[in-house]
Formats: sequence, structure tokens, C-alpha cells
Amino acid sequence: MNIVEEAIYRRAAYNSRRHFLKQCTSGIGALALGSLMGCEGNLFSGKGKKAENFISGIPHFAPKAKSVIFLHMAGGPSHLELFDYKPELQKLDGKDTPKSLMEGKNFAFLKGTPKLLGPRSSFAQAGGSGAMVSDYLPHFSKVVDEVTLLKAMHTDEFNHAPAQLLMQTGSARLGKPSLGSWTVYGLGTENDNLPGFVVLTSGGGAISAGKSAWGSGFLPTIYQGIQCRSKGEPVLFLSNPDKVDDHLRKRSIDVINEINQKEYENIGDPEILSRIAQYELAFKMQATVPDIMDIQQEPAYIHEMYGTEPGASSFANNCLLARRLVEKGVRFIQLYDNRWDTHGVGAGNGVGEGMRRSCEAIDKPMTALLQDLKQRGLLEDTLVVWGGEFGRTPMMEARTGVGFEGRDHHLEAFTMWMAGAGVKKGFSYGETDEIGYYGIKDRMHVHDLHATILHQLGFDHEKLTYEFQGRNFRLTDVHGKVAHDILA
Amino acid sequence: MLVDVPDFILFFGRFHPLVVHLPIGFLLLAVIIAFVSKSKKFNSLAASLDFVLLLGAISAVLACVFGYMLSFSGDYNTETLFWHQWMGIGLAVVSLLIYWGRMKVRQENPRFAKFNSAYVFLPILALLTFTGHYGGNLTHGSTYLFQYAPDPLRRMAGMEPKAVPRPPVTVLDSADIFLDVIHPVIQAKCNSCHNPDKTKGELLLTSHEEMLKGGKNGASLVPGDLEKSQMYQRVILPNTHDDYMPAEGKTGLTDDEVEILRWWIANDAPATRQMAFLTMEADITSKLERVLGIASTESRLPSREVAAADSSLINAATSAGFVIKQIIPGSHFLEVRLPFTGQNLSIMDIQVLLPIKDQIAWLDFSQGQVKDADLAVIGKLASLTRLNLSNNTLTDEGIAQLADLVELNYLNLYGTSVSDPALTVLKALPKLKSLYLWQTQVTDEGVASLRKERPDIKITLGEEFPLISDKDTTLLIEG
Repeated sequence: MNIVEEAIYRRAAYNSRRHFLKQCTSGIGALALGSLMGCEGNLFSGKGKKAENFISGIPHFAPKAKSVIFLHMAGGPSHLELFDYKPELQKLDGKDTPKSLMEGKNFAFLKGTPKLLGPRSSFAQAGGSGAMVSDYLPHFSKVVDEVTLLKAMHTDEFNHAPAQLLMQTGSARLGKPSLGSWTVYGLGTENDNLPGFVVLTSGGGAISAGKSAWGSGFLPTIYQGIQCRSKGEPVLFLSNPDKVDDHLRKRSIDVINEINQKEYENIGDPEILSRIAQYELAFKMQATVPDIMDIQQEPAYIHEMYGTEPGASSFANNCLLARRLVEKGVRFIQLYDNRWDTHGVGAGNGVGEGMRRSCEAIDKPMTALLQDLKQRGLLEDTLVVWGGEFGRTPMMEARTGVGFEGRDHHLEAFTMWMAGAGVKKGFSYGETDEIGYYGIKDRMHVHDLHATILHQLGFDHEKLTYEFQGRNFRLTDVHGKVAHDILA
Repeated sequence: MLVDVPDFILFFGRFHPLVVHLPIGFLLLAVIIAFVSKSKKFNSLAASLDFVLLLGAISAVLACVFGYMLSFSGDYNTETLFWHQWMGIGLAVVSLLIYWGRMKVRQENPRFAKFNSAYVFLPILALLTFTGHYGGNLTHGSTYLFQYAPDPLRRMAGMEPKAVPRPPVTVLDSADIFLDVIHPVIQAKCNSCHNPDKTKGELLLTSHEEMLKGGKNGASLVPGDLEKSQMYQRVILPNTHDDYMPAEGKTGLTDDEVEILRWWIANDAPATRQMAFLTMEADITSKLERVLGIASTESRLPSREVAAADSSLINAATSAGFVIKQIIPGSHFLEVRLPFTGQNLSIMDIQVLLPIKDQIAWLDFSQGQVKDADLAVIGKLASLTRLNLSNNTLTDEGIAQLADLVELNYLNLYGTSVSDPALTVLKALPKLKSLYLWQTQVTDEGVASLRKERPDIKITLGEEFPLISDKDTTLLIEG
């Protein structure tokens, strides 16, 4: 026995049974304590956390809305030209803005003492409710009795990207799931052959917030919005490559999924499961999407009603597609129309003729959408939401010279409307001051809008949560109040 | 309270809670000194030990005397009182004994040498702990200490895990009249005096059973009899009346709560029953909604709850191709639709839905190639509240078979071939509220007569707005 072995032996001998018991008293005590305490995972885990666990596909209470169509007017349309009639502002047209309205406020471009800008449209009472609607929207004024106008909306952000993110994800920062993702996560899809959350864009160019506006954030990516194009191939890279037929395609997807499944069993990353589901959905969509996106199947009077032109890319086509998708059980349809940033940086960009022309592109289609949903009995189950990410200032923006009648971004007040699915008809909620600068009654924050939308979908917005990085997240974070006053 | 106890006894008795903390402090200090004065650092404290001990012993005796006086008020749980009393007396005796023993040590009596040891103080510590704990239980109730303890600790203390609160009520129909409404109200307004530890008037109001049992003034709750139910009679007295409850200026029941209590007792005061099974009165619904704090919502489900459908039956229907979903948690009503819009119903076996007919509340078969013959089956689904049959080749003969759908609220028949005779069938559906008839063969006269007889039905013909056709509005098409 050499010296090292002897040392080891001595050391082993030192650890006698008595020693073991003595050293282990605290350990054995802890074991006993653990069993006395009923082997709970966490001493302070609180009561029945599992009971609160959310069951996907079952809402908290009977939903009024099965689907949502959100018409987002990217850029921020002027409430002062469309729904919020301010004769007082007309009288102040061209006057200097009082200092009190500028001090301590954030504007994207306004500086110094801008002039006030009176409404460039004229208003008339419309429908039985007597709501004031602009002459920019002659068609819509006929259906204004179907909607609830939210006239004192407000937001936290005065730039497009953060404001759009706030409107769509409940947070001005990147990385949160969008309203549509939360909806599909909560309710599941009605149609296994189509995505539950479809995004359609018009108006040219990408919106400032980019694809994050319909991202799934920390939710599994299967819940993210799928963008479909109304011109050309509806979904890019969905169709089979040359010389690959459906059979081969299916076989290769099966093999890829098998490999992915093995990878998942090894690694356990749930995103792999999302990937498998996406491959399967994509294969099913190869058959269903071209069919559903083909609006040529619609009769002529429908095209006449919406003002659609098959093959084109337009807001009108998107509205018609939205109805077709709702009919097929798609849960959330998000439309972006990107033409509403009316700074007046050139002719045709202000709230005068420029905005009038923009309105022509949406007036007839969105009116037709409401009518068409209604006559098919779908408006009772479909919530239609319209609005931009913020409003426009009562002040004129004259960045590039006077005369183009522009307005800057405005976060204190703007108008949105909601229709269908248990929302009051011909109702107006909220008021702004004489010049449409501040909401003075029944103000509604973007979080409140989200809470109300989720409420109509059957969810308590405080309970629709997802655990991420150690805490439960929700769409409305720590805010949001359901506007019960607008619910029938 | 015993009548023959003079006031001054109770007056001094009330000094017990004031004095009782003195022996706790002194004796605890004595125990601490006894142990720490063994160490060199603190051995100067040893000189004070006898003095502190004497203070403790005297105050313990005082506390015992006051405590005994207080016990005559009779408001306490007798078993707890017994232990508290005798352990308290024991504590006073033991501390006096130890003091006496230590006096002997001072006189250098060798027989008492043991009293020099710190360990003789341990009985004081033990008695102090238990007496104090029982005393706390007497005033605050036996669950006070561990009320907010984590469940593992509660289990060690021999208590039930914390009650999982009932899920908040979101739909009135699924709320329970006693568990969700009456019990929480009683708990908030009555239980501070009528609980197992402080049983005023010998009356417990912690459970339905105890309410029936009543107290020394007789039955508190007599189902169906408001005259005899004291828990109702006492809360409607003017609050200046001697018998008014809650007594001692505590917050009384609100008008809404009183009305709900009246309605509950009049309806035989069930210990548990869902609202859907109770006879509603004119404005009780809004009162219930206010008390429960839920928004008023028109119910989209049948007014009566049903038992759960057998899962094997649901599975059978699912494997036949139908998509079946529970509508909301807590209710057994189901939503049924085709796997996708445009699926052909005729290749599916609709008969599988019959065994779960009580549970099916929503049915969506739009564009499903539904035939008149299928309506014979659908007409038997008597729980249906929402039925979408749009875009199917249906005629009046089929619709005639829907006459038994008494719960039906929403019916969508757009794009079918129904005509006026169908309207006479639909007219008789008592709960029908929305009816969609765009692109059908109904005539203006037929609709007008239905509107006249059933003004509560909202009929949508799709012609309320003129089709927009002003061609001069040019549309911007972007590239």
C-alpha cells in the first residue's frame, strides 16, 4: 500500500457509520420536513396555480365575436376630417395655436407656434343616430347606424412604428404578440386548412412597424399572422417548385416532419413542434388558399358593391377577401391600408384633396363589407374594428411650406369605430374638446380597446395570459378596462 | 352572559388583555437571562434574574385573577378556555415555585441546588407558549395564526389547505345562488360575530346547515317562510331597533342584498343551485348582476344548464367528422360545426348528434349541402340557441320540422329556398330574436305580417341599404 492509497483508506475509515448519521442529521431532517409538508414543489407557490391554467380553445365566457376584422388605417387618418365635427376649429382656422397646447407636448414635426387648421371636409348628419359624418365618406354615412364611434381614443406614442405596435401588440416595444396572435392562441382556429390569423395589406409600401405588427412575440410562432397577397401568388413560396408534384411534396414534408419530430424528442424545443405544424398547414394551404383568394368566383353584384377588380391589389379586394375568410372560419383578419400619413408634404398628401382621394379607396369597400356581413348574418359574430394608430393635430403642419394642408401626428385624441358582435349600433362614445385636441369625456386608451375586443371574443383580458421569462404576460399588461358602455 | 356577575368583575376582567402581556415579557426575559447569563459575556445579568422572575410571577398571578374575572362574560369557546385558564394558573404557580426554590438556593440550602440550573426555566417557556397560543385562539379564533400560512405549514398544523376560492362568476346563469351570492354576503356581514369561536346568541352562520339549526332565539332560516326566518326579519328592521342585525353599528346589508336574501328564502333557500334553475323575478337579475359585479349580458345559451354529455358519445360524433367544442368552461353546452365551410354533410352521419341533443346549443352547417331530410334530426336538438343553415337547398317542408326548437334565438336561412309558409312556423318559436332571410323566396307581405306579429324578431333581408351603384365614384387601384 503506497502512501496515497493509505491516505484514501484513512479518509474512508474516518467516514464511519456514526459519522455518516451525524453529518446527515440536517439532511434527514430536511427529508422528513419535505414529506411533512406534502412534497409541494414550492413552499410559497400559492393556491392552486394549476387551476388558473388556461385551456386553449375555450374562452372564459360565451363569446359574442367568433371572428375579428381589424381595418388598420396605417399612418393615422385625421379624425377632424372624418368623424369628429369641430365647427369651432373652422372659426379658428389660420389663427396661432395657444402656447398652452404646445408646451410640454411631443409632436413628431410641429415646432414653434403653428397655425390652427380648420376641417377641410364638410359634415352632415347621417342615419337615424344623427352622427356627423364627413362628405369624404358618402357611402359610409349610410351605414353609420351599424357602428359605435369611439371619439375619444388616445394612445401613448406619436410616431408610426411604436404607435402601430402599441395598437397591434399592446406595447410600443418590439417582441410582444399581436392582438390576432392572442386571439388565435386563446380561441384556436375554426378551419384546420387555413391559418387562423391572416394579414392583408394595401396602399403601397410596408407599414412602419413592419411584420412585428402581426408577429407572435413570445407565443409559439404557429400563432403569427400569415400575410396573403391579393395580387399574384397569395402566399409567397407556397406553391410547388417546377417538376415537383403534390405527391412528392407530401412525401418530402412527411420526411422533414419525421426528422423534426426526432429532433424535438432529443432537444425538446417547442418551436420545433410549431415548425412541424407549419409544414402541415402549408401543405393544406396549397389547396385551400388559391381557391379562397380567387375573388373571381364572386357574382357581379358583389364586385359592384365592393368596387373590386379581380387581379388587382386594393383595399376593396382585401375587404371582399376578409368576408370570404370570415365565412371560412378564419379567426382574425388584419387589414392594413397604408396611405394615411397626411403631413401635407406635397400636393395630394394633405387632409384636403389628398385625403378625399384616399377616402374614395376605402369608403365603398368598408361600407360594402358591413352590409355584406350583415345580410349573411355574419355581422352578429364578427367584430369589425376600424382606425389608425393615432389621430392628427388640430394644428397645421407647414414643414414644406404652407398650402398643402397637412396635420401632424396626434396622440391625445382620435376616432375609431367598431361594429357587429354585440357592439351597440348607431352609438357614439366619448367626446373631445371644441377643437378636437383632448378627449374630455369617456376617453378610451388603446389598452381599453384591446380589453373590449377580447371581452367580445369571450375573454377576461386579465386572465388570458402566457408565462414567459418567469411571469405571466397579457395583451393589456397591467392596464385596460372593458368599455361596457358600448356593448349592447 | 351570566346574569349574576356584578359589573365590576367584568370591568376588571377587561384588564386581562392589558396585563397579560407583562408576564409574557417578564418571564420570557427571565428565561433568556437564565440561559445567557451562563456565558461570560453576560454573567453580570445573573444578578437581575430573581428580580425579573419575581416581576413575572406577580404579573402572572394578576393576569390569572383578571382572566378569571373575564371568563365570566361567557363569550368564549369552553374547551379552549379550560386549557388557557389552567395552563395560565400553572404558569403562575410554576414561576412562583421556581422563585421560591431560588430563594432557598440563596440561603445555601443544598437540597435546592438544582434550582440554580437554567433548565428549570424550560417549563416556564413551554407553559408560556401554550397559554399564549390558546389565549390568542380565544380572541382571534383558532384559524387566525395560520390563515395566511403556506399550505405545507397549514398541513403540519393539522389544518385543511386554504380553500381554493370559487372561480369568479362571469355568466349569471352558471352562478350558484348560495355558494356565489348568499354565502359571501353572510360571510362579509354576519360571520364576524356568528362563528365557531364567538357564537353570539348561540347562532352560527358559517354554513347552510347552521343557518337552519338557528340559535337560542330559534330558527334563523326557514326555507320558504320569510315570517319565521329571523335572518331575514332582523335585517329589515330599522337599524335603530334593538334586534336589528348586524348589531353594534356594523355595516348592514345593502338593499340589493336584502332583496336577494328575500328571493332566496322565498325560493326554498337551496344550499346550492345554479341560477338557471331558479325562478327569476322581474328585476332580481340586475340586482344579482350588481352584487356579483358582472356585466349584464344577453345569454347566448339555453336558460337551463344540462348534465355533461358522455364523452364516448362526443367522441363518436367527432369521429363522424363533426367539430365539437365546449362553449364555455363550467357549462356543458356544445358547439357543433362542419370541419370546414363547404364540407358536404350528406357524406356524414348526422344521426350521431342525437344522443347529445340536450347539450348542443350552437350549430353551424352553412354551405354544408344540408337537405330537408336532415332537418328532421336538427329539429330534435331542442337545446339549440343558434342555428346557421345558410346557403343550403332547404325548403318550407324542412323548416316545418324546426317547430320544437323552443330555445332558438338566432336562425340564419339566407341563401335557402324558404318562402312564406316557413315564416308561420318560425313565428311560433318563442325565443327567436334574429332571423336572416336574404336571398330567399319570402315575400314582402309575408315578412310584413311576421314583423307585425313578432315585433321582437329582428329580420334581416339584406335590402335595408340600397346597393351602392354610383358609378361616378372612381376607385383608386394601386399597382
